[in-house]
Amino acid sequence: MDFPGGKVPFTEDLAWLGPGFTPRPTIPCYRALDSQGAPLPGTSLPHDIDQALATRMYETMISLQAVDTIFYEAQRQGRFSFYMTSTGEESTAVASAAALNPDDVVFTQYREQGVLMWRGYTPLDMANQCYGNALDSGKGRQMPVHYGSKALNFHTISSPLATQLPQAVGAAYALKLEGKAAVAACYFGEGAASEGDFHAALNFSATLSAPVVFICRNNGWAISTPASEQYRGDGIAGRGPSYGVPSLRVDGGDAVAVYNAVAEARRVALERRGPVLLEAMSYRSGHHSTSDDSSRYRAAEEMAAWRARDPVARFERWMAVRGWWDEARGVGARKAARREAIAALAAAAKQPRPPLSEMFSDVYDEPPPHLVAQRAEVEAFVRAHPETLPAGMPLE
Amino acid sequence: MAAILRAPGLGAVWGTVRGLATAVRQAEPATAGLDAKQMNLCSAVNDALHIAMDENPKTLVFGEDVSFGGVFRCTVGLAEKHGKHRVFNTPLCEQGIVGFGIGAAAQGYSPIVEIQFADYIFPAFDQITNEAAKYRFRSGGEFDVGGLTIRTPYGAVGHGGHYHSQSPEAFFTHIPGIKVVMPSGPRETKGLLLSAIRDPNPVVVFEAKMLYRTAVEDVPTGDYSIPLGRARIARAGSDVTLVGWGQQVLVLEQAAKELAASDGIEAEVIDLRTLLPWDADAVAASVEKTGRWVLGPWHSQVVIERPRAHRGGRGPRRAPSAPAVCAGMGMARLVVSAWEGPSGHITVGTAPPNTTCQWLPRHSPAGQSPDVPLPPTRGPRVRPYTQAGGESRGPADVRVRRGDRRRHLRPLLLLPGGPAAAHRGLRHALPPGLRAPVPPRRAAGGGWRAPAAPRLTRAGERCPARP
Repeated sequence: MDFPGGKVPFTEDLAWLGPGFTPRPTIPCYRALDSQGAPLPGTSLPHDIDQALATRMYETMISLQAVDTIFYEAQRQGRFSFYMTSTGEESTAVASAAALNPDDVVFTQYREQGVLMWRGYTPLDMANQCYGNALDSGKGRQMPVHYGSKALNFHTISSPLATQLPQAVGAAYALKLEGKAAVAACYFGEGAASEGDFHAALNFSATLSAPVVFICRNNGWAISTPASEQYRGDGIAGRGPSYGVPSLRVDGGDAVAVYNAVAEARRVALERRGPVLLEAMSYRSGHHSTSDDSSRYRAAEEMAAWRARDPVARFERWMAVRGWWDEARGVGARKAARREAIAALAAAAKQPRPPLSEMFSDVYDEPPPHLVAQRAEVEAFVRAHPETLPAGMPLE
Repeated sequence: MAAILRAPGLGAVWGTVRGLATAVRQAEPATAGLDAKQMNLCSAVNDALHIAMDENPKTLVFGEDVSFGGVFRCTVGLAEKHGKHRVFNTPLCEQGIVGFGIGAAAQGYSPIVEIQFADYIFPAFDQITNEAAKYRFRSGGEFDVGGLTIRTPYGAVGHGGHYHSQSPEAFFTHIPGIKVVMPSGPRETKGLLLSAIRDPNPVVVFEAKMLYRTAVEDVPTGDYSIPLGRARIARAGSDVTLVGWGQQVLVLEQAAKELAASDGIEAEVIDLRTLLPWDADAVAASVEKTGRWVLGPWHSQVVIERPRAHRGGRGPRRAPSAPAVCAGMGMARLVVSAWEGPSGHITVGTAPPNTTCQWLPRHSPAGQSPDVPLPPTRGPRVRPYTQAGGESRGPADVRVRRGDRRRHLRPLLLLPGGPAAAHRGLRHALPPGLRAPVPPRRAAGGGWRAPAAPRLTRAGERCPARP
């Protein structure tokens, strides 16, 4: 019967579909490597990873781990105010980024610094942003880890969760109108997927047909809220088909699987000029942020078990089997990455802060009269009371 | 040109406005001489959208029901002319509409999104406030969504109830990073909407739905724009300044006409047009001239009177002092927001030195309008306090009166930094000899304390610091 709301078959059965009645099958999780990093036979691998690509992915993940470790420690030492690690999700970020093109536009949440590092954002760039110094492209206005880079097609991170999802759809629509062979990639966590903006975005992406690759990092925890308290359905991938969005679940700790999944997702999105949804299953091995101590709500055994499933170690073993990695190379890479991270912090700490005048610029394209007046007043006040200006901050 | 309002029943909506008449408007210099035709407000909007879609292939129009022409017919003809890829319906989701618009704008497009009623804009408030408004600032200027324009019908029509009548513009005027525009008629709307679309900042445009059909005037058929951030003198006058925006401007024009006819009072009516940023200079210039200012739509009819020398020539006539006017302007912003918080705690953004303010909120239980103090030179109109003689104040006093009840408040300064900086700032800004601000006192029992008789000061005497 052709209802305006859908062409639907009739039935005489009064039968519920769903949990407790006739459950839908759980969407299986695509993977290429076992938990030890050994390749599984019979895996469909439409996209090959050659040695150069694998090495670059590996070195990026090593660098990411070093930055995460050292910057986390730096925050504990009081060198800057805040930091968020991505421990346990390095492969989700780096392998997915490796499958995108530089022209693809990226919208993220806050735990995807691996994507940015893949694209060329250096530990020094990250340190400058975390210190909020004069070299920060964001002019020191945001909290640490709120990175952004126009040159790298990475939209600046904002704290409100899931707001980037409908924006990614709009950006993808613009790319489609321009006829560009590019997608918008949109990252978010399973907690953010409870926000209204998630539902808005999925629905808009399908109805307006926008080539957006949604990548959900389901790491099992939204601060202290486990996934069991976040949703009752079949995770995030289970929602996609309901919106008309083809969906795939993948092992987020399996860099080979993630790479293939995202490369395929990108191909499908461009071919159909429409959306796809990926759910990368993983575990948030670190705390939510430096303001969190997850041992207060998580069992130590659980955390230890997942730390043992380090995705970087898994990828190392896959590379080793191919002869692309050995112990010495690994040790050397980690040492170099640590040195670079430490040097970045030292260099960033020496920079001055952005000038006070930058408090008033960029609110609008040009400051309107009331901001011009405010700026003049603040500058006059600071000239009369120079001791109120924070240390290391020039007036203009 | 004349604006003719035609609709039955509007007099009932507008209470004290007895009947509707033409309002004399000053022709904008920019539009004088252009070909024009009679258009109502929704046709003016439609015209502006057609021009915007024609001139920039990256302009998009979307929202609920815009494809067939829109529930108010503002988007008629656009989809047929420019195609479904540029003019399209969205699912019913305001947060999605604005979020999608932000993403497209971030990629360089110029989306003009429609929120079907301003009453439903609130799901999008997060995207507007936390995202669109901050996109440029938080990215250090690397990204922006300047191409975004949000247009939405607002205002009461009589039968709309809670959810088809709201005027929520005040919420938006406190969001740095966006602009807020509220035109007062068809010609204003077309020019302001084109400016809003072209402005490289995200702009929210509130369109008076009551005027969509009922306001008809000559509107230029071609391309023209009215600048944002500049108010319009809708009616010139010399005795009192009335400031309004949107559909209220016509009410003020009508009221001014009646004041002139019945009392010989010439009121100057200012149409703010843009609420953020608002044209403080225009209001200041007007208040400098008239010395009196009635501010606000409908309810908070606060009168701020700049002090004048004692009438009758007993003392030198003092020129209006700029600090007093600035204090009044500082009041303007907070009067609009103080309506939401009638607790009496008031803050102003800035107050220049040597400024004191008196302010009395309107608490008339019967809903009567306050007496507007009138200059005695304007005729034999008698008021208790003016009859007792004009009052002169110190050069920096600005007094607000309602009837015979007065309250003396001090502005508080908001300063960056902690208490130490605030303390230093206060001492910097307040004149010597005055103590730091104290919160206003209420009489026991909660009512305002009215003095037994009006207080008078002689010419040259400084008004006492506190009652």
